[in-house]
Amino acid sequence: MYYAAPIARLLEELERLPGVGPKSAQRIAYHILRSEAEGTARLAEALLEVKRVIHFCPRCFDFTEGDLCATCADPERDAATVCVVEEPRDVVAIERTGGYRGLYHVLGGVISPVDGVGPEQLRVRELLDHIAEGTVTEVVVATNTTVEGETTALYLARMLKPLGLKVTRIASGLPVGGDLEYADEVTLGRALEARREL
Amino acid sequence: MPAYPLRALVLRKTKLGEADIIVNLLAADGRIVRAVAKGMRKPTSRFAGRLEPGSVIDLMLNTGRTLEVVSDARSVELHAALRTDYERSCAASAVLDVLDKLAMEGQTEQRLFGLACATLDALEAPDTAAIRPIVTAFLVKAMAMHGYRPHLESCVSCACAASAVDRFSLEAGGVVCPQCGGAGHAAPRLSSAGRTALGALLASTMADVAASPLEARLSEECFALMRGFVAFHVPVRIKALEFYANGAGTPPRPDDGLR
Ligand SMILES: [Zn+2]
Ligand SMILES: [Zn+2]
Repeated sequence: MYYAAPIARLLEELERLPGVGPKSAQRIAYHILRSEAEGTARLAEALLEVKRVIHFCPRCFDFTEGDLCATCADPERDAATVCVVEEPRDVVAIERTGGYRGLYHVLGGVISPVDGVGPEQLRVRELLDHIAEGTVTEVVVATNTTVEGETTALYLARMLKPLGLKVTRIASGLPVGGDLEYADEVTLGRALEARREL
Repeated sequence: MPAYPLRALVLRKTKLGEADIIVNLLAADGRIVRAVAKGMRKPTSRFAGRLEPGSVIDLMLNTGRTLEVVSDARSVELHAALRTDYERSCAASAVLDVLDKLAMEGQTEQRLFGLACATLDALEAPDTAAIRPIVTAFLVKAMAMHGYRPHLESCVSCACAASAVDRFSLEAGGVVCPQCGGAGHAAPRLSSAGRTALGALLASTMADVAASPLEARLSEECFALMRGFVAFHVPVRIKALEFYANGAGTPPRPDDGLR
């Protein structure tokens, strides 16, 4: 397939994006070529601005525009509870529930032996620094329910429990609105384990 | 083409696109099969929970263009106890990664599946002192199946009596006497007790290794040797084995985190 050099370069960059294959890259590239110059300038400016303005919150390592993120800066949040998540997008997911009032800590990944990713490559030390300030009494581990997420949860529990902290793991269970009969036995078993009194 | 059944152990899971995964499977006949499972990362997936590494499952597969496609999966053995303890979990990851890399090397080895299942079953045993010896026994048996059965009975090069040997040649795959064996890391030292222990691991069942684990010092000696042996003969890096061997299985002591 032949493309003029600038188009080929754009395609190459687009294909680096997650979830964008050659087909989607081509569709986006042709959309950009057909659209007005102002629209494209706005897109380019938005891309540059986000890289210029957004940085990690030095406390929880979520993305933020200000010195501290909105959650860490909010005096109404419960500073005794820290919820540990893998990625910034997990903070967004938990915030959407509206049911959590504590603080967060973003690890920036999970322990993954097959990929050679250990605790040193994650923000574990920073979590310990936060805990060392003495206000935290409970750590809620909200990593994914994959093997890596569970391994990371075990690691954190083993490290944090001797410090006298309450370490909790979010429950796994059935999706709301789902049929019991379609649930796999791992999920159903965990849901039974985490049952509560009515 | 109709779907066909396959019993397999899940070795590895990698993300594909937005919601799909690719699983590397060790089939019951020792082949590696790679299959795609669609929509697995959505919470509503019907069988995502069954496709975690370490699970033995009965699958229904369809032949796809490049990869097989999973249409159904039923659990045979979840090995859930492997994920209740950090060290156990890291040991299981190491075993699965070795299987993935060894089986990838090509030739089908039917006994590999049985060894894999016996190893994971044994790793579920409650005694944590048995974890290292089990992983070591797995490495020596897996290497033997891969065509590298360690020669321990006499010097691998001049066949002189075993009483004289004091090193293990990684290249020759057996013990060597001082006259034949060079020094250095290609032929690490192996104590007489270590040699006996290695032979015992090779001859014991996994259940036996779990029931009466080697003493810690011997276990470490044999493990270090086998790890070097694997690294010498398997051309790809086995990251989960390195991770386990380098003690990432050991969390930092809480006090060195809190200055
Ligand atoms: Zn923050
Ligand atoms: Zn010799």
